[in-house]
Amino acid sequence: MEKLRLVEKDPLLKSVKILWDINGDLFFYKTNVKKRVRPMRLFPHLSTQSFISLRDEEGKEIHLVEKLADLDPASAKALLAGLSIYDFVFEVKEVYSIEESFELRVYNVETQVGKRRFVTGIEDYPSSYNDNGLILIDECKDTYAIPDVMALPQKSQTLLWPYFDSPEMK
Amino acid sequence: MNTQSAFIKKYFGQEGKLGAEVASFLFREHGVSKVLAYAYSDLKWSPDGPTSGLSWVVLGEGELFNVEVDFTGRARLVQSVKVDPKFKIVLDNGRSLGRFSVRDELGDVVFNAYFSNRQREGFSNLKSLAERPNIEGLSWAKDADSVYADSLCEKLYEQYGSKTDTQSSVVFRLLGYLKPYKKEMAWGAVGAVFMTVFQLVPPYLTGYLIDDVIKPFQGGVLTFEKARSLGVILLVGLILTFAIREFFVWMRLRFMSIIGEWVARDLRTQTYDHLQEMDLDYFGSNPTGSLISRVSSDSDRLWDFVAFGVVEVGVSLIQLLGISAVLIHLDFKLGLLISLPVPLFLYAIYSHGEKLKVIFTKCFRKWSSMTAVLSDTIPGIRVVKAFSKEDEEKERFLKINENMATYFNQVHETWTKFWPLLMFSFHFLVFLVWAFAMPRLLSSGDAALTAGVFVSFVLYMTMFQAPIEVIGQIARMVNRATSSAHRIFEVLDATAKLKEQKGGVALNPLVGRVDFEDVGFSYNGVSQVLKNISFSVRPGEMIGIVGYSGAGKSTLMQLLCRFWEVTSGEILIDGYPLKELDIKSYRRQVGMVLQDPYLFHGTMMSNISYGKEGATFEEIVAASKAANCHEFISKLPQGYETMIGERGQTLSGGERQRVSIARAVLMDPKVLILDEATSSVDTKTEKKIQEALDRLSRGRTVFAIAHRLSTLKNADRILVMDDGKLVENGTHLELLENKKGLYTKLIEMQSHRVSETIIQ
Ligand SMILES: Nc1ncnc2c1ncn2[C@@H]1O[C@H](COP(=O)(O)OP(=O)(O)OP(=O)(O)O)[C@@H](O)[C@H]1O
Ligand SMILES: [Mg+2]
Repeated sequence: MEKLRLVEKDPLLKSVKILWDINGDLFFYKTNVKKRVRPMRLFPHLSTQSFISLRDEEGKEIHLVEKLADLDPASAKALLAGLSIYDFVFEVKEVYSIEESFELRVYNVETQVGKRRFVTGIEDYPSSYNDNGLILIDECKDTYAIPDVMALPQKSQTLLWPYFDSPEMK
Repeated sequence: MNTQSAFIKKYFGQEGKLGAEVASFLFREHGVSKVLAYAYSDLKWSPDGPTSGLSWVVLGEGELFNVEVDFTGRARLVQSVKVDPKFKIVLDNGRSLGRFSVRDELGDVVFNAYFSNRQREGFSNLKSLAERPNIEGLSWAKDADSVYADSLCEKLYEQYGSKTDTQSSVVFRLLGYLKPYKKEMAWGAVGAVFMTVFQLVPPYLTGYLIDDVIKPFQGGVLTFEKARSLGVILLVGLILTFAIREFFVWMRLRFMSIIGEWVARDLRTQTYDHLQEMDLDYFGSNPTGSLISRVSSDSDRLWDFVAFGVVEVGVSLIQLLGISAVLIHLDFKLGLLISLPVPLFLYAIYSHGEKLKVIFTKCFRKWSSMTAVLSDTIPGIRVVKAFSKEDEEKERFLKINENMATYFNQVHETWTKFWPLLMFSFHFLVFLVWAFAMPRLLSSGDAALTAGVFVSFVLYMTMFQAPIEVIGQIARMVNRATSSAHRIFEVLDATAKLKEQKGGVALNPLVGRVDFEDVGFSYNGVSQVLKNISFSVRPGEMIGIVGYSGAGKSTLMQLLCRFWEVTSGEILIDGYPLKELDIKSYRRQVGMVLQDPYLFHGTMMSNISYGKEGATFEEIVAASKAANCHEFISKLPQGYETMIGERGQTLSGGERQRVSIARAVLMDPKVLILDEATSSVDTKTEKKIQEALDRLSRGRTVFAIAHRLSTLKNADRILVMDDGKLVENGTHLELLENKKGLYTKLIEMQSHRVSETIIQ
């Protein structure tokens, strides 16, 4: 018996074009339609190359890119450029300090866009993903990802120890 | 304001307000004399993805600027655009990045700024202000600095917001609460000091017994009789010492525990009183549960700090110093040998505590994931069973539970290793004392040590341990107490935005004339919920208010109760400005039935008579009849004495509404406001509501917000609201004449819905 397909393949897929313009807009073309869209990964950390939803200004999905590889190379490149903006999250490169201040936990970190200081509630612990990754979402809903804790400098690892489980302890 | 700036720096590491260099740059180069609003653009786009941004997006009069400040503090214009009503401002939300763009008629981008989520509120404020057609006339808007600061801080205020923000300032402030109890404090302190002093006596007596009684007697220097009588004196002295010491122990415990309770009581009362005076804005932005725990458990947790913590520390210090002094006095060298390492011990205990704290963080995290599993699967047990996932759930729990045990055992491993080690080091000192004392005990020269001195010395040494342990634990105790105290101070430091006029005019009795004059209102100081509302109501009129959901009907009525302050315009009651009235006396004459009525835990009767103390049975029943709730109450087994609220009789929404109408009516208010909850009532209930309305409107001004328009047929006048504006005002028939009017439309919609339901 054939496996149930949850998502129908789009027969017109090849006619889909995505264009990135220098002002920071991503456009979606299909047959006669041109629309400004915002891309969003539906599995932001687990699967970065598939299931990318394209939404219009009201937030309605107008197309779902199942696999990046299904697009023509130019469109795929444009989509990645768009994702680098709209799916941007802070990536922590080093942890300088983690302090408690009454009800808050204050993180002082180095990210790909420089130093950041942010806070979470004292009982909002980071969540883990993949093998050695941690995700922190601060009080303002900004996301800070640490793809691999073990790749950080030793001191950062020590500071993160209470919030991190090695794979065998999960 | 300044605290907010400091707060933003401390927790977000960004500027607390627009730099003076930016404002002066804009003034100098672009003639901007007033900054209306601004937001911080902390990200920047580049072809390789976003980079860090350091620029401000500023709204001056009719123009938007993006001004970058470099590391030397020099400002530079990146982009600017004249605000044109034809342009569109678009806010795009990414996952952690937002984009603010201004687009022309063709949709082309003419202005662009990027930011992280933290600045989103600021940019959305900027957007709503920039879109407003005549920006200059915004007398109601807050100033730019506070709009910016609020947009960042409000998210944290739930968790944090006290003015006292270092640990020592919290402790000092807390100690201030001991002031009224100086006398008791003094007694407690006397108890503590003498308790310590008398503790030092028994070892001294022991030494005396050996050196001045036993040895001279054995050496034949002292006769038996003499030695015996000395021995008796010593025995009496010993028992007296014990008794006196216990008396002082009692004194200390008694006074301090009582003071602890008093301080907790004072804090509780103060917090609760303060809460009662806060305005609705405050309760809107603070979760109920957190406020409750501050008044209850946090104040309780302070008891043991005040009762024991404060004194324990003092006592231990006295003990430590006292014993050191005695030891050094007994024997200088041996005394120093044992006292000098004490700071090392204290430090060791402190750093051990810090180490445990890290492990505990991990344990607590595991603990919370365990409770998360529990609170997920136990209420969700039906789902677990429906998918037959019992085994997986057992497995998941087992794993977490085992992990948790592993980490807790790490804690145990750490402390079980630490304490024996510490004790061994301490005992090693004791060993050293023995080793140094031994030759001197056996010799007979200048350096000789008597057996009695040695024995007292050894006894004193054993007393050293306890105060060291206590002092080592202080850090933890202070931590716990300050975090509770901080949470309480946070409430105490909050100030109500709504200022009450002292000695306001008391209108007694109220006549019931109401005028709204060009009233505008905004909850957050940015987006306007009510705009230019003007109308007049004569005493005794019955006014219906209708409009779509979210139009601002409830808000309008809450303004009339002065739950909030109007942001522009004025409300007049009997010709007096509402804000000049004595608010309590005014509210006593205004009955309000809220859209979501709240009944207290208690009997039906106590709920109905809440607004009028000592109401008679007759009055209560009459009010219930008027509100149409007598009928269902009389069916209940306990009648008016039926308990309602949690653990009691549960009422339907309509019943609750009617009980709260009775509660409002019993006060015999001159102005009655009814905010009807729902349109989903059956025809029978609808009829009851209408009857009640007609009965209640006699002799008073009534405002009734209704979703079922038919209930308002008998209203003297109907106000129709749309998107914060008063769009129509007239009688039912007058309004129906305007075929294109909103009222006609609403009526048509409802009759349509009714016919639909009939067809079904
Ligand atoms: N406490 C509050 N803080 C901030 N905004 C609020 C608050 N209460 C209401 N609003 C907003 O004000 C607007 C008007 O709300 P309001 O409750 O007055 O509408 P309404 O006409 O009574 O609606 P309904 O018919 O659903 O009761 C809505 O957009 C609502 O989201
Ligand atoms: Mg309402």
